[in-house]
Amino acid sequence: LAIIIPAYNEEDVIGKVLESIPKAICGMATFCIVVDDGSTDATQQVAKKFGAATLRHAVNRGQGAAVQTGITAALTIGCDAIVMLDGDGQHNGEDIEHLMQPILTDQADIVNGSRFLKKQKIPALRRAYNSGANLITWLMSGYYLTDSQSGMKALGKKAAEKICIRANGYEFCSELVREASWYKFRVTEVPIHVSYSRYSMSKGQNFSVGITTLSKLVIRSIMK
Amino acid sequence: MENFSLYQLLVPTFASLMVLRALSQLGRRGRTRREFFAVLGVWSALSLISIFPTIFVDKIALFLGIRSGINALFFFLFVVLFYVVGKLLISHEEAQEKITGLTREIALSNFRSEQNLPFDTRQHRPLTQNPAEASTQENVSRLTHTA
Repeated sequence: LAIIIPAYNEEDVIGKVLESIPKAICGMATFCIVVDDGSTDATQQVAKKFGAATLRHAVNRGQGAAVQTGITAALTIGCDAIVMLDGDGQHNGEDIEHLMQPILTDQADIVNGSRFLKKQKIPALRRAYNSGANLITWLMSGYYLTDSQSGMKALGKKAAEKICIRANGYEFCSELVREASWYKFRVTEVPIHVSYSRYSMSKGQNFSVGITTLSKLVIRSIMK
Repeated sequence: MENFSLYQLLVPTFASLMVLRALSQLGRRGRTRREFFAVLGVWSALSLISIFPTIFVDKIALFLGIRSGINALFFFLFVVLFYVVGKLLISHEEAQEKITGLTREIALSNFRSEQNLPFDTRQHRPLTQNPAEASTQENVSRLTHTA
């Protein structure tokens, strides 16, 4: 089981993220792959110190690009399933097992970790942006997810081999759902924990990034 | 002078600013001569059309068969502009995809070296019939020869 962690300038937290991942899940050994997306700090070195396999983008290409690189690497080494999670420490390693259950029981090809299926503190702006992105993703794919922009997902081998992410930025989440719809993969959601710290709030998506992502999604949908 | 409209003043003023900007960019080597002349041509044409609408717009509208005059022509131009901007965005995205592809290939190539895996620049297909038997060095030389 490959755990893909795209990371950009995460030297402060990547060690903790790697420590939180269990050595084995449901009898499958985990293999952590950190994709250092052109960091200017020691993210790659720290990740190596904590035992992860690392790949490094020479220049920053965005989370979508890093995730696709991680998927290709995982398939190259022959992993049977893939879980991806953010490198900023907002996700909980214990959720990986819940995420994998529908794939292991052959109930789904792709499992989306949803922050909104359980009550937890999520900033209102993120909720608002997410609702817009959910709507656009639904219009693009016909699949309605409660958290289409979640960075925590699991892919079975078949889905990982077929899906090809071309979007470089955060809009890759919606592209992945559109690809899933194209290949008629079964997509399901499970609730996941999320913990927003000041650090994780300063990273990743904010409202302005959200607006950019939404406009990219619209332009891609219309012009491609 | 009675039929002179505000847009006939605004469009040439804006066009002059754009040409001056392009000239400044040319001076700072931010733009090539070819690009500058293209900018000059487009903005000069727009200025002439706005100053002499009866000479240009009405004739073009008549030629295209649009009898409602300048509004129809502007609508047409907006459509053309939308198309051009869309094409530019797509070509920009394609260029970005190529940069990402290159970046990914370098990252994966280094990863395969570190993990002692067979090299393969095209997806996950092995380069040899039996990848387990191929050493990294063999695959590197294969790639060098086939490239």
